[in-house]
Amino acid sequence: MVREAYKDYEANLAAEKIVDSPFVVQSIKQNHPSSHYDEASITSAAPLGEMCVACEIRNMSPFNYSFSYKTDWIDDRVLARLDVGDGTHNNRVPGIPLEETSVPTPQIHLYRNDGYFVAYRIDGIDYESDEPVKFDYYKGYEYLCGRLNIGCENHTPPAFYFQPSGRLNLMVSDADPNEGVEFPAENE
Amino acid sequence: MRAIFENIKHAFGALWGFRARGESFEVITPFPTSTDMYVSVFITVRDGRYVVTDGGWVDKGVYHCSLPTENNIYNRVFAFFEEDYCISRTTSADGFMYLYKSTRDERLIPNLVFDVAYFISAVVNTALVQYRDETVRDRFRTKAGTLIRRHVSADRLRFNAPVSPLAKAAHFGAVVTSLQGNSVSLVNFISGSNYENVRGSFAKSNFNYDLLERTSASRLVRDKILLIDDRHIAAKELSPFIEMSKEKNQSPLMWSTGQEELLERLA
Repeated sequence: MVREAYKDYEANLAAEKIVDSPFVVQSIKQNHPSSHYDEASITSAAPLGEMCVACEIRNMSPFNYSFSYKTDWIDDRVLARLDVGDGTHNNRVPGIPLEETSVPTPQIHLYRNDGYFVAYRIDGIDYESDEPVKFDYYKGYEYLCGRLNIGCENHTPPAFYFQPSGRLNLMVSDADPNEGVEFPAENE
Repeated sequence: MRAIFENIKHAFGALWGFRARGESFEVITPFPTSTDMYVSVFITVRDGRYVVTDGGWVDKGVYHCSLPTENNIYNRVFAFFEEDYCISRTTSADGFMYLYKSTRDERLIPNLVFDVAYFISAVVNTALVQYRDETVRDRFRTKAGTLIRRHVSADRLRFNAPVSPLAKAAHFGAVVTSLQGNSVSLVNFISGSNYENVRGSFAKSNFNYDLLERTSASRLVRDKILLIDDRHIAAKELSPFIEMSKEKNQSPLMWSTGQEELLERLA
């Protein structure tokens, strides 16, 4: 898909797309029981194989998840991915100035025209505030749909729900990992 | 000269990041991990004591690696860094290991950030090292893999993988998807420290190519390459195997002479 197919890729990203709505995530992920995972299919006038949006929610947290825009075009390829949660990505690809290699979450991964998958910050987010740790999956889905021009049949915004089967979905914030942990004083 | 230096200093400095996290805050540091991440530490104040922690991230697997704590050599490496940087450990109520340092002297917080962040980078990166003894075969595989990885973007490259999930029985050293995405080139790595091992390596490769021929996935294959490690065995000795592979439409390439052709075929 690199170089030759890059125009198709760009055209597909820009083209208007329609997603099945509402997108409900409820299944436990195979081989990964601490995650929930589901997919919703996507159609477009400029298709690249069978397309879908996939969502993985980790540890039932509204703030720890990924949305992937996928196709079977070339063996289950992820065309774009939004990662939200812990960990700062290091773009170790050619040609990126050092200061731009550090990309905290939320981050969107897109292909560059030479075929490297690169992480980018999201415009409009204040990465120094607590906005990033409060970027829940509703905000994430809204952003993704806007960024990739994904809409609904009837021009309403695409709806998203997390309904883990057999569990109460309590919104818990895991923003502060040190909270509630005792750190005994060392010999001073 | 000075401008170059200032740019270096600026770029390194710009890698630092701050993130509010409830009662604590996160510091994103310029210390990298080999899993393509930057290390973060978390700072909390407890009774006038500044605590700098890893947030449990090493144990939680946030750095995309689990520590090989079943390995004695790794445990010695971990203990070495733990002692060298005077790191303390504790366990959270939900069972995660936290690594930290603390001080009452606000001026020394940067020292603690330096120690904890460097420590995290060290124990994560050393956890990625392969600790079991490598054979000649593994070393060639790694060498050849590095060459390919340097010239083929990761998104169209798989190692030790089948062509498709429908033909799982046949595995290949490297499976490279074409730029158009509609075909694949396969590479098998042929190596061994002696004649018998190399012969076995040819046999295994052939077996996998033959298996693939019996499946519909074989239609996707553009090129069946053998990359042969000829550093230990004279090419003359290998000629019967090479002749046979040519008859079967495979492309044998020698490590000493065929690297350029290999990369052209995979481009």
